[in-house]
Amino acid sequence: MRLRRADFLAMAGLILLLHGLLLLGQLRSLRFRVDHFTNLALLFTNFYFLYSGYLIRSLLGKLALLFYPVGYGALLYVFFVYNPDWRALFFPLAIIYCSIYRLPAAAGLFSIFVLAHIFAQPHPWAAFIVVGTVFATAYMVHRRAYGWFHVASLGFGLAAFGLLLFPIVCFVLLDSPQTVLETFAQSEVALALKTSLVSATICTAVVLLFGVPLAYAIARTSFRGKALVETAIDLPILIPQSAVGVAFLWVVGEKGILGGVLDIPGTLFGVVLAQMFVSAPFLIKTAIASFEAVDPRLESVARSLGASPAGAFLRVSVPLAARGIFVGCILTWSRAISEVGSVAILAYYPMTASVLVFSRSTQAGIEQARPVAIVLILTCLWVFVGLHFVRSAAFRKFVTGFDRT
Amino acid sequence: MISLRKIEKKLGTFRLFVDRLDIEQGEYLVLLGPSGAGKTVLLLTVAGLVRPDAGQILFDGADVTSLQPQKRDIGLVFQEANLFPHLNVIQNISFGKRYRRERAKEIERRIEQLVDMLGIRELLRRDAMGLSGGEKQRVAVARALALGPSILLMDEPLGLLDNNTRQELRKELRRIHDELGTTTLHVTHDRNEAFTIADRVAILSDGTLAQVASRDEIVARPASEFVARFVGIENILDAFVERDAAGKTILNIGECRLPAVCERRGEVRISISPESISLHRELPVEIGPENFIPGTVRTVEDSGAVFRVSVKCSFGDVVVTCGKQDFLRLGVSCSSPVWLKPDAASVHILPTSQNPEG
Repeated sequence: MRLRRADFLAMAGLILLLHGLLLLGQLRSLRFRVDHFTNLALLFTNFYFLYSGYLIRSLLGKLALLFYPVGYGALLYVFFVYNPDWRALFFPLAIIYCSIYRLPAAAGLFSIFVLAHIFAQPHPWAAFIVVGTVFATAYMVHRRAYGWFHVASLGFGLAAFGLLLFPIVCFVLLDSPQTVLETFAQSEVALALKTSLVSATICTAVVLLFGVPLAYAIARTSFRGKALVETAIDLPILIPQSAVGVAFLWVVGEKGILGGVLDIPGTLFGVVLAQMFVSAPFLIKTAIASFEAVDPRLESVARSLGASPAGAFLRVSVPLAARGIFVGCILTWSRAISEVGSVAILAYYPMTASVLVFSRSTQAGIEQARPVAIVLILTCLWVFVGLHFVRSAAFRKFVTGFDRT
Repeated sequence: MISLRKIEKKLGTFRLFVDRLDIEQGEYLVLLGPSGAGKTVLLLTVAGLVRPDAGQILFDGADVTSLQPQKRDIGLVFQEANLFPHLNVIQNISFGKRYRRERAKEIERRIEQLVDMLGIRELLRRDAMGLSGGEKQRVAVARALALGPSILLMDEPLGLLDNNTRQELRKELRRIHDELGTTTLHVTHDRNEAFTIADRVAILSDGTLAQVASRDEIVARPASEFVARFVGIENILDAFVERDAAGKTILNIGECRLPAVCERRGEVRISISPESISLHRELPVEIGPENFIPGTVRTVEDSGAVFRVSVKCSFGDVVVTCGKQDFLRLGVSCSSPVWLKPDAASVHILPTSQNPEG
C-alpha cells in the first residue's frame, strides 16, 4: 500500500486536530494536566491510530470502519480522561487496539478484556475467562457458515452455563497460591486428599475389572430381561446417596446383618464400597455404548482368523472401545472423588477430602472449608484436562497407535 | 470338499432349509438369490457364526457342525471389508499369524505372494481407514487368504464398489482363485457377477435351493419359472402339450406346433432364449406355417452388437435378438407383420414342482 503526499498531509492535519482538541481540554481544567513525556506518547499513539486506520480501511466494512474511532475514543475517555490513575495503561492498550482491530476474534476478546476490567471490577479475570470463552466458541461456530440459529443457541446456552461456572472460576482465582500451599501443608488436608485419591483410584480399578466385561456382554448378547438388567445398572444414580449409606450401614454395619462377618465401617474399604456403588454406572454405561459402536463383524473376522471369543474381545473390541472406556473411567473417578452422602454415613473416617469440606463447612464454617474446597477443585481440574485430551484426535493416535509401523 | 446335509435354521418366520449342497475341492461356487433369500445366513452357517437348528456341515468328510469358527480354517470377507480400524494394512493382513505360530514362515511367504498378486504392496504401511473401497476390499481378501484357509467365504464382496472397480476386482477374484485353487463360496444378488465368475451357481429362493448348476445349464434349462425370471430369461410363455393322431407329443406355442419330449399333458410354461428364435418377413414356401408364430413388431432396441426386437403375438410378447446386418436386410420396422421360428431343441418346458403357481 503506497502513501501519497495528500494522504500524509491529511493525516498530519488530523493528528494535529486531535492533539489540539486534547490540549484544549487540558487548558480548560487542571484535572487533565499532562507532562511532556505523556504528551509525546499521546502524539505517537494518535499517529499510530490514524496510520493503522489508513492501512486497514480497505479490509473493513463501512460499519467496522465507523466503530474504529468510536472504540479508540472510548479507550481514550475511560483510561485517559475519566480515570487519570490508569493513564499509563492507555498507551499499550491503544497500541494493541489499533493493531488487532482488523482481526474480529482478537478485537472481540480484547474488548471483552477491557470491558471486564471496567465493569466486572471485583472479579475481572473470572468474568473475562467466562465471557471470553463463550465469545470465542460462538465466533468459531459463526465462521463455519452455520446459520444464526446455531450461533445463537450455542452463545445463549454457553452464556447460561457460564453463569453456573462463574462462582467456581471466581472461587479458584480468589485465593492466592500461598493460601493454597498452606492448606496443602496441613496434615489433615493432605491425609484427606490422599485418602480421596487412593479410594477413588481403587474404586475405578475395581469397577473397570468387572464393569468392562459386563458392559461387553450386555452390548453383544440379547436375552430376556436385558432391559431390566440395564435399568438396574442405572439404579444407583437414582437412589439418594444418604439412603445408600444407611442401607449399606444396615447390612454391613456393626449391628448389621453381616456386621459380624465383615468389619467395613470406618475403613478404606468402606469408603471404596460407598464410592463404587454411586460411581459404577458411569463406567458401565459408557462402556456399553462404546462396545455397541464396534461392528460385531470385526469380531467375526477375527474369529475366522483364529481368535477365540476372548481373543477377539481383547485384540479388537477393547482397543476400539478404549476411548469410551477411558472416558467412563474418568467419569467414575470424578464421581467417586466427589461423593459425600453415602461415604460420610458408611465410613466417616478415614476422612476423604469431600467429607472434610462438608464437615468443615458445617462445623468450622465456610472460611475454614474454602481452601480445602479449592484444593479439591484444582485436583479435579486435572481430570478436566485429561478428559479434554481423550476427546482430542491426538489421543486416538496415542491409544490405537496408527502411526506405529 | 464342503458338504451341507439337511441344514435347517429358523429365524422368526423365515426358514432356511438346504437339503444337500456339495462344494467341490477348488470349486468357485456362487450363491445367488434376491435379498432376504437367506444367502448370508447360509454363508454364516458355513463359517460357524450361525449355528443351524438341524443338519450337518462336513469339511472333507469331518463333521464341523458344532466347531467354533476359529477352528474351522475359513477365510471371511464381508461387503464393507471390515478392516480392523486400529491396525494398519500389514497388521490387518497378518492378524491371524499369531494363532498359527507353528506355520509362521509359510504364512509370511503366502502373505508376500498375496500382496503381489493383489497389487497392494504400496499400501502395507497405510492406515486401514484411509483406503478407498477397492483397496479395502483387496486388503480384506488378502487377510482372508493369508492363513491358507480350506474355504474362502465372501458375502457380497463387490457390492459397495463403483462399477469399474467392481469389474476389475471381479476378474482378479477369479484369477486369484485359479492361481491358489482355494475353494470359494461367494454370495451375491447380482446375476451378471455370478455368471461371469462362477464355476457353478447355486440359486437360493426364500430359504431353499432352487437350482445348483453351471451357467449354461441354468440358462438353457432353468429349474423353475422363478429361476428363469431371476436369471433374466425374457421369454417365459404359455404353451400346450398334446398328443396328435399319430401318437407323437406336440407342443403348441400359439399357432406353432413343435415336436417335444414331455410326459406332461395340457397347460405348461416354457422358456426359450431370444437367440434361439429366428425372425422372418415372409413365410418360407418350403416349410409349412405350423412351424411359425405370426406377430407384429412392437419395439426395436439397439443393444450394441444386436437388435432386440419385441414381437407381439397372440399369446403375449416374445423377445428376439437379431444381428444388425440380418435385421437391416429383412427391412422390417415397428408394426410390420413378421413370422417367428423357435428352435425346437432350445425350448425348455419349465417344471412345475418348484413353483405351484407357475
